[in-house]
Amino acid sequence: MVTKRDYRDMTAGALLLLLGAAAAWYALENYRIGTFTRMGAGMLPMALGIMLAGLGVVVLVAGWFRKGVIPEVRVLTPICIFSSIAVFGMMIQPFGLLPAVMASTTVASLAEKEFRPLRILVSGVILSVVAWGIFVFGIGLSIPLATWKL
Amino acid sequence: MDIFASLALGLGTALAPHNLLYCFLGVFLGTLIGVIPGIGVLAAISMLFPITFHLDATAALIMLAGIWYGTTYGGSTASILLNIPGSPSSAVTCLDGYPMARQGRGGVALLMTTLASFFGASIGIVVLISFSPLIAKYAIYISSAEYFALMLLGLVAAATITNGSAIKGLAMVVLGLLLATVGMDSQSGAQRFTFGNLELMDGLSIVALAMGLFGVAEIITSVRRIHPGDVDPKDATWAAMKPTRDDVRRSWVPLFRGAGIGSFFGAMPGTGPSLAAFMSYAVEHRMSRTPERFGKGAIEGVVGPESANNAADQTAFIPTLSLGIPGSPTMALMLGALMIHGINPGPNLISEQPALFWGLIMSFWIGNLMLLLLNIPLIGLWVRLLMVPYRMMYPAILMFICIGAYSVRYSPFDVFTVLGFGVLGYMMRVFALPPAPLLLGFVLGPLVETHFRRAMIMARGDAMYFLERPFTATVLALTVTMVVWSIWSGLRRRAHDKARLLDQ
Repeated sequence: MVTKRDYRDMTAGALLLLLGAAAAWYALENYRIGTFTRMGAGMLPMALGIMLAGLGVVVLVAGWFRKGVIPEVRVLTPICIFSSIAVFGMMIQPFGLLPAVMASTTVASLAEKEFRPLRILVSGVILSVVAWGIFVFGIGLSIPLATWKL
Repeated sequence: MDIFASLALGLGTALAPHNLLYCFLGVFLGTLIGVIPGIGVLAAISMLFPITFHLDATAALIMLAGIWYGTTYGGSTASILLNIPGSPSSAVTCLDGYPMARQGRGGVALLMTTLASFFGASIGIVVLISFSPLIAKYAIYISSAEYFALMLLGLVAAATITNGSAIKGLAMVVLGLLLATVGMDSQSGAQRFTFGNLELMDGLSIVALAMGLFGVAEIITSVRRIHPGDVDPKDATWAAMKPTRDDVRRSWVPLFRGAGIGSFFGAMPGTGPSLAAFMSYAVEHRMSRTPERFGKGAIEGVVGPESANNAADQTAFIPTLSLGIPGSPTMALMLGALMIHGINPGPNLISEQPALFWGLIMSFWIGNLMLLLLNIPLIGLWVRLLMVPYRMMYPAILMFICIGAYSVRYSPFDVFTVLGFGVLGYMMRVFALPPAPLLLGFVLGPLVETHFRRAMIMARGDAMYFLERPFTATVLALTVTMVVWSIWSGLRRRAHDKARLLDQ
């Protein structure tokens, strides 16, 4: 869909502006700025924040004067992939390698938009074995296979 | 140390059994990843990055480098047989390689690209051996001001010589530099942007950043999009690979020209193998007496670019190893690997770590030789791999990313950092913000800041100091020219687009 203005770039520019301004403000408030000869910890972050905000303004303004296309944004896929990582992060310490791999594989597979329990189970088991073989047996990481620490 | 003693030392290091093993693992995995569409070289290197933490620095670098140049070999296989570039630098190979495959000459194309890759890489290695020590010898005398200027040039080059908008590239460099300030300030000891979180004291992890930005974001855009293609297994037989006398005659000159072009562009900041391949293709097209054959299966259009991108893969190491300034995001990751192993990259690397430097270079040769021997008999295997559906692949990639991130410090926090950068990476894809300049800014951030602050102390706060030094002034002028040129050409392109829209 072609739009009169490049809304994608305008949003990107606005976000960069906000991020830069926030970083600059936070550095100014919390860190010592110092002088050019002896710079404090806050000098560079503040300068970078201002630069980022400035570039954001350029992107925003350029988007205003340009025709644009609204990009396709995937919703289900990112949710599945991100949740899969989160599930792994939450499960790896309390439950160990095998449960974490099984659970994250299951969640990740949902991005395919079809639910095939047997296929997910099989690939989860295979991946767990591969993970154990490479990381625990091969490299010698000390990650417990399964545990219960709640 | 004279050159032969150095090379002998390097050969000795590279032939040590465990280095040989990691070299093999690297090129094997590299080819594998290069063949599979939907995992780029950056995603692959960041995925396997944590594994190399458990190795010594030399073996780690040998393996990472093997993955890097191995992907270029593998990438051409997918380009020729499926018309899908497995890696960006092999996109050019599609142009004439795929038509060759359609004419039933896929086997010839595969064999010739393998030979061209080996040839280009060999020339690149010779250039690397001749120039790196020379540059390092002079680089020892340069001070913080010059370093700062060179890094700025590298960053600006990386930001502006991309396909997309130069302004967005610059914004991403700045964001990368800003992300690099997270953690303890090395000079004052102050905590920056840690918000009281102890795990952020050492800064954000480069592994998590690279995996999130490249690996996770790539998976999200590839799921349900990449489908295995129809490959003719007959292409991968011995008989189908024999080139005609005409093929050989046509290939000689493009091989040399490609290697020359590749060696030059590989060493330049911000360019690299993709650009080298495109340049080589353009040159071959222009020089050819029969330009109408291009795009319809001209062998020159396959061997030239393949020779160029492999030469560029090798010469990209020149600025990285002799100056400590990476010209591309992949080289930035190599530098990151060095720093994680406590080795300071810079002109002193060659004299302080001769075994590492020469061992790495000699491993390139061995690795390329392995690729030559590995690829010709294994082409059948790679072809079969092209038929594995992506739905089987991506949960495995994701699992590697998660365990890899966790294994560095046994910290679930790092897994969530990957998640955070995955979200950022996907948003950046949606907004068409390039991730590569961000990574480069992130890796160079601490160095840029240290050198800048040091130079400013020497200059007593006077910015004119940078302009009074001839070398620094020249480099800064070059940097400014690059920014101005990219903005100007961007404006011109827009005017051009507008005119075209009006025509319609």
